Amino acid sequence: MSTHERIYRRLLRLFPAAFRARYAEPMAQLFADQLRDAREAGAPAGSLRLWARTAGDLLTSALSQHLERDRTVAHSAATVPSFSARALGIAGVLAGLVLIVPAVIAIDDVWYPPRIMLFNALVIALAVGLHRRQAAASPRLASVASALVILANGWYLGMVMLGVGDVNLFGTAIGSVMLFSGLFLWGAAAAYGAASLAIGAFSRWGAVLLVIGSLVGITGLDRFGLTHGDFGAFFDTAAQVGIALHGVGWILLGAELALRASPRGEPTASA
Amino acid sequence: MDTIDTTTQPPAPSLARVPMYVLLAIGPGERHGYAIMAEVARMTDGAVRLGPGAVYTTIKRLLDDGLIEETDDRPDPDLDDQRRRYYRLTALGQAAASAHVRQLEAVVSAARPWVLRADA
Repeated sequence: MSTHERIYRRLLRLFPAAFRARYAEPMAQLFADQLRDAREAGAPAGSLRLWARTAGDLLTSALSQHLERDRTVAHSAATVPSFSARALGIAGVLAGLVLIVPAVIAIDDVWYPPRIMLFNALVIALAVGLHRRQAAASPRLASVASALVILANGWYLGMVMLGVGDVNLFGTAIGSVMLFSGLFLWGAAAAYGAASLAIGAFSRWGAVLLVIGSLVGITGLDRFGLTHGDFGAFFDTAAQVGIALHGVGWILLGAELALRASPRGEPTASA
Repeated sequence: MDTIDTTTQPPAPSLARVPMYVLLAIGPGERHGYAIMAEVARMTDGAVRLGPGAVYTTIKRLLDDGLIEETDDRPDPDLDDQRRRYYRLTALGQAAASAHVRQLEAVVSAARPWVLRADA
């Protein structure tokens, strides 16, 4: 396989996973045929001209498939999802609300542990609900993403529940177990959002907000000290915005799971 | 090719330009993506050159609309790559292609006299 073909195969990741699973191989085959024709024609810069045409072809057709996927997801709203999908989707909506409610209502710090434990448990429930639909399109990626987010939330929930607190393993600034747990929590959520985008079983807004919110929210981790430094006010605001976006991301994914049945060709959550 | 009984067929859907090119390029036989792309370029005298993305997003739409179907028939392995997928028109696809060609013929018949006079 030539370098051109390898690059083309990588670029096919621009397409939704369901489309890719069905058409990536024949598309790569067709590109290889075009490449062969360009070389046999012997025209100067033939490969370059082919790439110029291919770039436009890839972008427009990938965009059309993403838009079509959203239309398909929207059309599936006419079908009622299963009871379990609705229940787990509502859990996701509640998870997001539990996370962002302090931004709206002042809540005493004493409620922080039970609130975070509830959030972690609800996110785990949502991840289970989302998994069946995501796995129908991309089993391996869905499994890795779900496992990461369930492990991360389980770990954080366990630490808060057991009152482990901020144990420092190595006696250094980065030795905090809580820091590792927090990093894993935000990182897993960002990875989950990215995986959801790539899989394409749900419309992209929830996943995009989850990625952006998690990456921005990570700046608020205490051990980084960003919210207490010279630019503390800026990072504190950024962290709050990140947390809010993160919460809204889970809400959108949960709402979609609860309100919209699986797109055509995928098993329902109750299957 | 089987004849089409238009009295029992649903009305042929109207299609955009590229899907119609692909439908006509598949024609009465079975064609794979590369053959479709080459036939579209030949039919349009090179004016329309479809890339792999355009070919397969269009094929997907035509499959979804029931205008074409994938066939399991494969030519001799010595003659062709077995990974290729072949497509053929369904009865609905044949009806859509026929309807489109008739429309084109009507347009050409109406316009030809004055176009030829103008060119002369």
